[in-house]
Amino acid sequence: MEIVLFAVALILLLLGGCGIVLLSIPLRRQTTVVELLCLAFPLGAGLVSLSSFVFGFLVTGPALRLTVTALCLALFAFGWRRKPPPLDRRSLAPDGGNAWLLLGATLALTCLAIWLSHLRVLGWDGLLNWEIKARIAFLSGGAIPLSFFSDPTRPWTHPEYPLLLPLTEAWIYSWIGRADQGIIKILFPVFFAAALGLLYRGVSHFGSRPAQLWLALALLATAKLILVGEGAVASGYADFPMAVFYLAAVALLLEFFEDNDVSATRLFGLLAGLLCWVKSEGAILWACLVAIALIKFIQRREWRGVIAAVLPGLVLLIGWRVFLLLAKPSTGREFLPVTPSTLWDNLWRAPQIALAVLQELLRWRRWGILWIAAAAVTAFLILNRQRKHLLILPATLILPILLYASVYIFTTWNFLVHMDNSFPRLLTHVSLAAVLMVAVATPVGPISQKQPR
Amino acid sequence: MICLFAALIIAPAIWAQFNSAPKRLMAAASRVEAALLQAPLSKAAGGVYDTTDRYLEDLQVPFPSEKLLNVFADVPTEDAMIFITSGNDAQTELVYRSISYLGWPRQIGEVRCGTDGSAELWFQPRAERPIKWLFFHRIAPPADFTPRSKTIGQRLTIVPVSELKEWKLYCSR
Repeated sequence: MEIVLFAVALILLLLGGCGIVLLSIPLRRQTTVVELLCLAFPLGAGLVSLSSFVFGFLVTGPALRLTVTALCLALFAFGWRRKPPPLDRRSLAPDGGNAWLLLGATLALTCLAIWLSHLRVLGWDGLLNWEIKARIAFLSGGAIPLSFFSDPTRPWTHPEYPLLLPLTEAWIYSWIGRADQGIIKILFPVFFAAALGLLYRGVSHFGSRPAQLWLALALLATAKLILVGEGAVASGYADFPMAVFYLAAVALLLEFFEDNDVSATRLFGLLAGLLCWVKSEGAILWACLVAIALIKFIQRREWRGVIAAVLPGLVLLIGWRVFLLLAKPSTGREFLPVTPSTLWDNLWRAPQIALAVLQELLRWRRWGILWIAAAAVTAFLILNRQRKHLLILPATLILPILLYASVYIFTTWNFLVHMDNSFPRLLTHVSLAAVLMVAVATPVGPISQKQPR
Repeated sequence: MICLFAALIIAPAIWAQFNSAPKRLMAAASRVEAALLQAPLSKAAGGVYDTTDRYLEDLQVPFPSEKLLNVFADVPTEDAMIFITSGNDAQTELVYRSISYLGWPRQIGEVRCGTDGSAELWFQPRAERPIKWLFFHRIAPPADFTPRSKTIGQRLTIVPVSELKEWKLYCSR
């Protein structure tokens, strides 16, 4: 019975997400059902968690569940009215033997993610930073009580972290009727399946060779830290969901650079903005993407799209900051103030940080050849300037990695211990975008004769 | 700028990688061995308390989460509690945080006892929440507490208190 109720919660979340996609996507853009569902899942999680947070100040319990359900259904209805989703059954069927094989391999990889999630317990942060808030929200009628944020005995739960993951988990708990550490692990392979779908769409749209899809799968399967370990699919951390949001936003940004369609930035703005609602570090990723998008806006002197691209993230960032100012969270201080004098005092750390970054990128037992391949492809894209718009892909990796690494200049911990503890997880955020870049830009196999779907 | 940055770090890093290869191979082999040895333990039991049961393995009782929830059922939500432990490792921290996870909405502070009998208060409940319960983890509670105490396994004892002493007096037991 719990599985059926879990499915109901998931379907409502997907309907809400579909509604957002259909309302914000350009009308003439061709969107397959697979892509629609894969974009709908992260957006639906954003919708359910944000609406639970906002409406949770007004109503709790069944009333909150009903309100969020009504919102999901209403958005889907409005979205359907604006742009009915493609329901062409032929477009769903794999086309040819290679496509069937690819589907089989994708399903096998998804099953592997499900099996690994089933096998493992939630990681330390998965339980004690994220799921704990979902349980507290569930026990409090769907909304986290204000007293939690200033609880002096639980600062280790990081009450200042944004709430996309906990409130999505709480949404599922509200349907199944209990907080369940076993069942909630199913949520993460769903994020993984969404990532696979987004990669399929991205590689087949921006790439030109069927073998590139196999390359993407191989890179995913061999990068151990995407599947198992701290921050991976099977850990219950927010890092892998963050990677899915980042991948979706990067793919839409690339589409904007390729097609010059300003109306495509609406969806990009929503997905990039939601990064700030997944994890604190999302603000860094959001800033990187917005900075890259601004280059295009400035080049084209196209100011209409700026608001759509920037506003959602800005509203979420400022809104959450204001909430934290009011809620006064009890939290430890992990970073020194970011001032020129702190930077100057700790600049001696930079060479050791750079060395640690490189060592992590070369750690093949964790990442396979992903980062080595990403470095090679970056060099290839810079030297071979035939597809200039692809050059934004290295920027979407290098900028966040440099900014993430520079954060350790300001840590109050032993900076190398802090890096060892958290930097691999931060790399997870950009790992799926790295897979997309490597697969799209590597000239592997014969060029496809068919129009990619 | 990025190329210069990369060039400056690539050379020493590659040198460090090659220079430490034999040591790293040995370390990798021992890690693989350790991972293989841990493999049976890493399998989740499944169920509602799948993860907390695993994190509370240190208590050495079956279904520790449910046992703790039964104890919490008798504790008013306004009562604060203190977890006193002689442990100072990741396992102890997991036990404390799992208890705090299960104990919501009660505020549960933590006192760590040093080997010299000293006490350090890590997390303290708000003053308006009276501390009425103590957890003793890997440490024996005072003898006069024994009649009122509840035990979960051999490592955790829960005792109601009406009057608190200095923390180090509990540690010196």
